[in-house]
Amino acid sequence: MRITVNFSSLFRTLAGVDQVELEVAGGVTADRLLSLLAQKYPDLPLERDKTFFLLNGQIAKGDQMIREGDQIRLFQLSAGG
Amino acid sequence: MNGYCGKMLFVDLSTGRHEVQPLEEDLAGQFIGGYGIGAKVLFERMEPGSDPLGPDNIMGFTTGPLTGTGALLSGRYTLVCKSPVTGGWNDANSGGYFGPELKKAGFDAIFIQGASKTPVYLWIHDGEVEIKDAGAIWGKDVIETEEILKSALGEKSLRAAVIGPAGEKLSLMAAVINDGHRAAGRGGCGAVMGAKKLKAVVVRGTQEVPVADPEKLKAVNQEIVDTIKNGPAARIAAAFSTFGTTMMTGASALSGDSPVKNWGGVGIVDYSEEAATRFEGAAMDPRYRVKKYSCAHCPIGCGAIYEVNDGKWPVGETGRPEYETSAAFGCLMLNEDLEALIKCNHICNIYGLDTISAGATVAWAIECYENGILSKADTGGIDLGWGNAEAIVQTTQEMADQSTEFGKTLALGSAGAAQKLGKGAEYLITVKGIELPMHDPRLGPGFTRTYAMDPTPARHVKGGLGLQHMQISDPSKYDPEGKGQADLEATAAQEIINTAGLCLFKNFTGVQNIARKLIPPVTGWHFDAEEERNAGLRIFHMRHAFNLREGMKPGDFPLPKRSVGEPPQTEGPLKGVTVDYKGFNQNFFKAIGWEETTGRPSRSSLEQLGGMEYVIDTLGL
Ligand code: SF4
Repeated sequence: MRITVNFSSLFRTLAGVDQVELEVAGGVTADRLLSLLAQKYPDLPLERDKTFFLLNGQIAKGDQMIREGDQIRLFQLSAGG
Repeated sequence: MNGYCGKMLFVDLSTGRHEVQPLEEDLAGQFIGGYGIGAKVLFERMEPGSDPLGPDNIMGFTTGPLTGTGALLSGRYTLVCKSPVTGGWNDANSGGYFGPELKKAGFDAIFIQGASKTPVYLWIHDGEVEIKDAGAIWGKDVIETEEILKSALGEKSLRAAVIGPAGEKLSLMAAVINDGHRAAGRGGCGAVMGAKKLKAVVVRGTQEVPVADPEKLKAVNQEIVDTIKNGPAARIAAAFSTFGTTMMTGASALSGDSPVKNWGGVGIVDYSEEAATRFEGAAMDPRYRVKKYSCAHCPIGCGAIYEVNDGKWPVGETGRPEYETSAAFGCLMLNEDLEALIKCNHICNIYGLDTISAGATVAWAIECYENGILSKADTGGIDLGWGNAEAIVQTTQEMADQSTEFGKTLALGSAGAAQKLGKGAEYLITVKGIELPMHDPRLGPGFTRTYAMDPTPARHVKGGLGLQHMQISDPSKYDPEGKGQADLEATAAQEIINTAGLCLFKNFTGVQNIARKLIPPVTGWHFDAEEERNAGLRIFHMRHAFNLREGMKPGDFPLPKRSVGEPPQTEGPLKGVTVDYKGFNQNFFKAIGWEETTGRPSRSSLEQLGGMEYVIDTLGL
């Protein structure tokens, strides 16, 4: 299936694009999608523990299944002050 | 003494006298600098119950051992005083160049008591101290004041910490501004200065601060630069250097990090992604940035200077709004208008207002207006609806210049305004009268303990687990069990960052244990993890003791219900979240050894820390 991943803030800056389209197998989980993206964008700091994965506006669990048409948004919140 | 001038200046504005006292190495070793030494001095010299806006309040301009030594990321100075907002301990720090210049002028700290009958400013140059007439600058804005001072004193390189008209008129949100747009904002420092009729503290000097091992300091500085460039956080550090705190404004609004609609809304529901992104440096810079801005001795340089020459509010040269400002004057009031944001930021800078409290106060007023608590009769005809850019700018202007009744009321801050009006208290998002900053504890639950139990409530720049928590989505962060010790360690470490004169944004560099790396070559001290921890806890307790002596107890600092998810949100990423803030407090109290209802530390824990004899006696521990 074809899915669209949106990047916000720092990820958008580092990736240089707002969103990316990916062809993935059905049944892909949030964690699996993150590792696919990490391969495609080695410059993005996509550490699992520091990456917010919003799936249809909710924080996704790692084993949560992605379905066609889902809204996916990734970002990081590096805190300083 | 290495790292210090070894001198503190005490000025009495009531008598016009001043005296210089040595800063003893023992005191420096125990309390480091900044608000550490500041808390010790104020605890010993100020009577409890002193009126924060009266002559007995003592205001300190303090630096740390690293300030002015060339140690990187160390250009900050800290104001200390009793807060007219909370009635308790207050400190606020600022970057720029004022701190290093104060040390070049010969002093580690200046403490000012008394009050002048007529407006004055302090002129301190190479150890000389003069109290001068401020008649020509009273009433002027921050930028005009600096310009007049430079020409009157014939000194282009001077540095000044000044109040604008907001401080003169005792606005409880008044900040002290240096270098045009760097603010020691929180807790009403500007009002304390205004009450003393002190318009500015102006410094200039040529003295060198002695450094124990300049070669070693150079090597540590190099290591910091290398880590920023090539370390594990290099990409983040580079983005932060370019866009500063606006690097993540969009993600903050979407994630729930930024409070939305006076803490009652949800970013992805009530605010648009497009608007949130519009307030990021990546979107704003191409249009407005004319140059980068860096504080003294900082290899990051996270600031920027904008120029706005057209549109609805052509303010000319101005500082890029920081994240806190962009959230407070953005999603907190559902403002999507970038020009309005820049204008409000500019108003706050030149009139001298804390942008967090100012934005939060306007957001509170909007919610009151939307719910019929305030009417056009109260606002003077302003149609103060959510996101109404013109109304937001006009309200901010009136709040800054106090030209209307409505402006005068809001200048008291949201809690002060609610009290004066006798309505609107149900929409206050304050702790002990001060507005919460722009990081939501429902995303970073550790902030609950810091916002309530730091001696300066409602601060995101104080130690604790909040900053760690907001960066992770793992739900185990919401469980307070067993987190007290980590909270305590993070708190102690942050006390050293703040009092050494370091910038909190060292967090973006990837450099670990930066204080422990820089303090030894500068001071010549042995300063290991244990010494760092003990000094941090000593300082934390000294600030806490100030509040205890004022009769304050933990129950006086309740968090606003919305900020802890009571009731929880029904939509968005933080749906269903209620923070066990009592659990975070209890675990922290257990770790630090404070009695839960009174907040009193044990005598033995203070004896163990050492240097707290006066506190033990005074509090009768
Ligand atoms: S990181 Fe930014 S705020 Fe901190 S010292 Fe550098 S320029 Fe100033």
